Amino acid sequence: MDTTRKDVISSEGEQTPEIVEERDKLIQAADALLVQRNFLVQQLSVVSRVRDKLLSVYKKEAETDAVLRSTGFHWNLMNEAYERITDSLYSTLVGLRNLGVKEFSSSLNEYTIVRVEEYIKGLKEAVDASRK
Amino acid sequence: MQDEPQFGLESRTEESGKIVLNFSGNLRVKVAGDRELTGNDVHDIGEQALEFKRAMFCFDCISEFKKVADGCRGRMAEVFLPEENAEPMFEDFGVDLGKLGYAHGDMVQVLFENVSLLIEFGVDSIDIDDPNRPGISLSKLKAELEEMLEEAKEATKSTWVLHR
Repeated sequence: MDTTRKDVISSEGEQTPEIVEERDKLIQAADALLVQRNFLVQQLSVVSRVRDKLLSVYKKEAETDAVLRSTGFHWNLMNEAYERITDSLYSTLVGLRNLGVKEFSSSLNEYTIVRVEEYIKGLKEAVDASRK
Repeated sequence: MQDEPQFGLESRTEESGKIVLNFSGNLRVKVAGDRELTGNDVHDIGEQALEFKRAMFCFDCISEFKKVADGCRGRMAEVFLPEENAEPMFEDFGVDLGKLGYAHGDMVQVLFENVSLLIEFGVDSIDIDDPNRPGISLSKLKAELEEMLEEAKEATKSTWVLHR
């Protein structure tokens, strides 16, 4: 159990100053990516539902996406960003796992405990889908 | 909009002292019973009611976007301090908050004008076949839209003072 930093709930293996520094950097990056990904997931879920409704009226994807853009949502950019962030989060969490981090607390949703292994498994599917 | 069914009067009945006009496209309009409606009046009401249905659809979509975007902006601004750090991220993620704000304001204005016109025609309420909005009272909706327009005016005023 690591108590040197309050945001590392559980970590194992060697804890040299270099490893601790690297671990802290990765936790900070993972935290930012978790918040950003959460934002994109929420936005995409609403925009995708409304896009389906719009598509049933406009019939053509190009017209539908033009309407979305006029309200400030660039559908393709949103999806690209989602893939990019998901990919980066996956790599960052794998990096943390390699440093022996089991759990850490993220500022996402009132300091959620992120269980690294479980999260990696959950993300794997999303990463594979975006790489296809 | 393509393939939208054109409106046409399907039936005219009375209900609790009000005239009920049923138009094609599942549009049901209640008009004050003391109105004497000519054929042209009915046509104008139908046309505006169809516009109302379209505007309400767009308004609901944009309102939903705005609600989620505002929530996310608040959370992102808390995490990525100072607040200015969060703003460019939205652009990078394909979301233009400024455009969203304008689109919402425009939609409130369009809907307000449409509702005002329908009230002038004597329309009390409209049913647009949306389970989330059964029998929309136009006077109530107009009051809500007026409030939104006032809020938007106040927001513009404070921005102007801030940047003067």
